[in-house]
Amino acid sequence: MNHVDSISPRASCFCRLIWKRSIGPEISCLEFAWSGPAPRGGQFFLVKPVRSGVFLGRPLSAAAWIPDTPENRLPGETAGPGPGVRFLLVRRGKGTGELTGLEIGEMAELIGPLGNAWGDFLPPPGGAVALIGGGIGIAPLLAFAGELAGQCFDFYAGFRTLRGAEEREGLLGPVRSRAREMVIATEDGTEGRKGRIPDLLDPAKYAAVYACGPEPMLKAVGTSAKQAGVPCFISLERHMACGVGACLGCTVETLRGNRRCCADGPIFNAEELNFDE
Amino acid sequence: MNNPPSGGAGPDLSVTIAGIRFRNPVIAASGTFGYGREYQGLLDVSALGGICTKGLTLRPRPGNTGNRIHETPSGILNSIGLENPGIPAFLEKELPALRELGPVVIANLSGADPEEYAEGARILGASSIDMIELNISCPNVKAGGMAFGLDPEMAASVVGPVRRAAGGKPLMVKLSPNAPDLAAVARACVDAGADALSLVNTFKAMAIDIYRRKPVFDMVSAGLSGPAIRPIALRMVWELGNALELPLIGVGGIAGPEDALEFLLAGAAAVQVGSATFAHPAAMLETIRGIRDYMEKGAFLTVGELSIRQKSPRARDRSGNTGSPPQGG
Repeated sequence: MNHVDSISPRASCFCRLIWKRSIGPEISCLEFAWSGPAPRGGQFFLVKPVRSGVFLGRPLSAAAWIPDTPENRLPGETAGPGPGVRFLLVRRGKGTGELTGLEIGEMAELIGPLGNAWGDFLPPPGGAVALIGGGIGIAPLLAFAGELAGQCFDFYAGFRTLRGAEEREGLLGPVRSRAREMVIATEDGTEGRKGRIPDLLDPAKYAAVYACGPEPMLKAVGTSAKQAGVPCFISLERHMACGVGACLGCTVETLRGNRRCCADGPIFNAEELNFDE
Repeated sequence: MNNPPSGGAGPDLSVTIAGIRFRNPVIAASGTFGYGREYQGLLDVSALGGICTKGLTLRPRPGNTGNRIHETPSGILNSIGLENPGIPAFLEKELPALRELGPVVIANLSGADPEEYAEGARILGASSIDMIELNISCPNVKAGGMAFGLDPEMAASVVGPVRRAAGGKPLMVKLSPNAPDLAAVARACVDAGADALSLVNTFKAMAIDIYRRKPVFDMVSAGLSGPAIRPIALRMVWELGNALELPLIGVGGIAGPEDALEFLLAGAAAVQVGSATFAHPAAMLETIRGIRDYMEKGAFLTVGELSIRQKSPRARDRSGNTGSPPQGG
């Protein structure tokens, strides 16, 4: 099954920021209380602070859904705020700037979970799979890793740079114990192997590969997987307005015609995409 | 007819435009609500007064290449390019589910030339939709690409054939705010047989990507919508209301009940809400509730009573029943 026709449940609510953490100088992790439908790995939310100077919510992939259990509560809490959803953010413009500047207790409107999920594209059981993330693109793959059985996937994470163990573990700690193998690469050699992830990946070892990150990385992974004859699924980014497939503003041009990144994606079979443009 | 709900209490939010009864005066604007299905689960679609479909053309269109949307302060620029599956596919695949939802179904009709418009109108006129909204902001490809809606004669050259082809189907014409003489275009549409007018469509605008050093949109110009345009749209509704008697539906940056009430007080028979739904899916339902609250507090029994315009004898008849001009072109 690789396309779900019915609309999966979602909600639109005002949600409190209940936890936030900086990971290095550029990346923030924000957690909002969320009692709506739990996101599946790969799905995203539109997020907009109540106090905002921008018009539209920003599409953010869910990095994790945190159930309300005692071990997930903050130190000293006897009752939790309920389940939460976590996002990773880099400040890129005015909208992400506002979000990274939110204080605990402030409210944002969340719409979601939206889009399709990595789990819609699982291979037949038996083989290992590769999860390949570039920079902030690891976010939806972290959520996917949480759904997969331990030790059945290798996690590849590439960054321009990593500033020490705190940043590395802040991003990758949650998945390290579940991955069969973790491969880290930085372009400047500050952590892990020096170089780019696609050069370290042999798709032929896997039943399927799943990638999210900068477009050149996706193109390299898609091409390499195609040459190896391995199914490859890619999460794309587009500017969005409605996020639900109504406005036709987030077009992805595929070999089968126009698709909506928000509703037909954000995850697409790499074979449908034309990387030559 | 003003039939209050059983118990006799509470305002009547229903409005009748061109003989079509809307349960309330809030309508989802074309291009922002797909075909109604996409927002299910996020709001109670059945509570809306009406839904305008995405713009339809006789033949399918792929829409524009490149960027299609770009945020602006309190607004959005869009250059979608009327991507749609074509009218026959709409009737077969989208209309049945849309009919089931409950609100009045308004099909937005676009075209490249009067013949394509008229053939589209003929097919829609024979279908089960309740009303046609005619988009005259499309470029006339046979006249150098100038939009039909910028010029009274060009507008009439589309409205006339559409009116004749649509049979008895109620016809609302959506005006372009970019017309140098909006009142003249509006008068030409009325004379050519429009039953109602919706205003406004998007304002022609643009953006430049200063890092790539080129326009954001492949088509350079795009359409501006959202709260930033609301005061201008309101002024246009007010001024046309001075000149015309037929129902006007106000559109342009309405995001909540106070905004909608400005247009209803300006004499609009109903309003459409577009971009606001992207930012806040509950916007239309909050608008309906807020209009009801305002009417209760002010003891207004019908939407028509809200208007602050000088009441002409015909305007006085607009309390819930606007009547419609004679049919035919």
